[in-house]
Amino acid sequence: MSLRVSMRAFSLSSRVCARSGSKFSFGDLSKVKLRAPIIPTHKNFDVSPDHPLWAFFPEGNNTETALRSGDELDMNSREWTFAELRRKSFEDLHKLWYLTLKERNILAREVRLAESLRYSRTQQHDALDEKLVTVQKRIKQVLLERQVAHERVQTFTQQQQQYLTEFEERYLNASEHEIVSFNEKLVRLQYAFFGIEPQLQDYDLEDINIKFVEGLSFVANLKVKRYLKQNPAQEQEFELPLNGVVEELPFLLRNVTEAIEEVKALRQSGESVKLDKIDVFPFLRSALSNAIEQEELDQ
Amino acid sequence: MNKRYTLPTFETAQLPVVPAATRKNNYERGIAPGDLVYITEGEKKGTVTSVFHYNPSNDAVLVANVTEKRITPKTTWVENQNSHYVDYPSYLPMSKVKLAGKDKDDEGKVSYVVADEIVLKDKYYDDRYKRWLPKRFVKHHSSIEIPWPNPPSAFEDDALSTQEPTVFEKTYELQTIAKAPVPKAALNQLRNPYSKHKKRVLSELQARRLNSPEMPLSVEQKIYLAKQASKPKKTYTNLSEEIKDFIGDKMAQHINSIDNPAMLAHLEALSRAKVPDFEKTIQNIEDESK
Repeated sequence: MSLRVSMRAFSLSSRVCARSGSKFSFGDLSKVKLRAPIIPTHKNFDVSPDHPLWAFFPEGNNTETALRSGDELDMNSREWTFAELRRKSFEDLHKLWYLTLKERNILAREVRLAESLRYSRTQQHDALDEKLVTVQKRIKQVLLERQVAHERVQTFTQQQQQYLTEFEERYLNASEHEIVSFNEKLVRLQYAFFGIEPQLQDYDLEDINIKFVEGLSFVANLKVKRYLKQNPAQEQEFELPLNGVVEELPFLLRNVTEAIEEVKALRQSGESVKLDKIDVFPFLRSALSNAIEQEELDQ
Repeated sequence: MNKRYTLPTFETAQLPVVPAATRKNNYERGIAPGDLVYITEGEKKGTVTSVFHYNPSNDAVLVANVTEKRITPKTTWVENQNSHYVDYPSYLPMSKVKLAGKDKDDEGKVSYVVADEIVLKDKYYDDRYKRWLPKRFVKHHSSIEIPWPNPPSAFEDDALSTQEPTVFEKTYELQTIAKAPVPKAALNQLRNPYSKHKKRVLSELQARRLNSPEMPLSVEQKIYLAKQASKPKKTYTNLSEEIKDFIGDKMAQHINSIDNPAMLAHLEALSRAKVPDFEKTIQNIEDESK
């Protein structure tokens, strides 16, 4: 849109007045007092220093000029490379995207202003904008790379299962002095494969999904098997398999012996029930939020 | 019009413009300000000079000591200029220069290596340029490297630069495959859900393009097809036991009369060969009997 298009027409109200035929008169002109004319200048406007449109200026409300010349622009900085962007988290990339966008908006406003002033030396602005566009394209590319890798790995179910089976075997056969490092490994594995955070307070209760339930089942069964292998005497007393998430959850929250006792108590009191599928997530959410509250109270 | 007969004007050099898609920056082109080049054509042919600037849109370089006489409008005059007619630095297309390397031996004798062509490979991080740069080698001489020159001025942080430690700080590491790296809401910004390539339905035009049109039949073809249609359909029936015995007898009679062992071996091999038409007929018979 050119500036000339937006030239002001007669105000609507004056035209309406003229059309309605109301007799408008100045009255006694001799009594009208002449005042000094008000010169049209931007100084007559008061703009709030935190007006959001200041974001379209390079220095915000401290900006001196509306249109920077080519040498005032930053022509020395280079674009972010793929390698640099790949090291950054989603949050960082998100921030960087908007910083880039803001800078592009500033440039676009300046180029637009230059166009309306018939000032044609904006090649530098375009060159800088091209660099910023490259950064934005690279950010998108890096995020897509990650997403595609994530989606592909979901199809590798066979390999995942194979690794889990191998891990189970090694865990069950681990000697007494190895088990500490294996337990640490298990904590990493349950996050890597099933997204179960190592710290209780990091849990996102809204984000509990089928993977979490699978992971819970894997971890609980692994620990029980190990325990029963170490204490064959218990094998008669403690029957397998575990009866769904109600019996599996204690193994995630407590150590094995305590969990076994808890499960036994549950079984005796008849509270150990196999939940319907629809009840699994609500149960986990309430049980975990209770556990998190309890932990906060203990600290 | 012949240039010789035109009056001097404020014209600018008309170098061919490189299309934007094939344009390369100076690092991709393997040239940087401060490089030495050997001029192969023109007035200064055979001299080695240094590069001031590379222009990607014309694929040309501005080098020291190569100027042309030009008339400059008064608005572009510089200090101490008192004539319209001045020496003006002129661009040399890259086809007229070759990259040169300077070498000093132990006795301090300077010699130059001129690369007919260069190859760029093995990227490394150049701290002077603050970026990854490829190494430059003379083509077919992978032992002769022409190092990048020192940049004319040190690269310093500018208004839009990010501090080096912030850039190198690692804030992402793949820890889990269970959680998506990109929030679901952001995914539609990365991929176009309405992309025409994701549509499962073809438009009529696309369908027509994919399928060849049906050829109209000639009169003769129509007559032939009508004749074929009027014929009774061919039916396949298995041979009766009587006929099978008859054929078997005939063949046994014939084979028993052969003495030549080579001929017998030949017939044996022949009987094992698979005849596609025969198999097809047998298949047809089986289908019919079902």
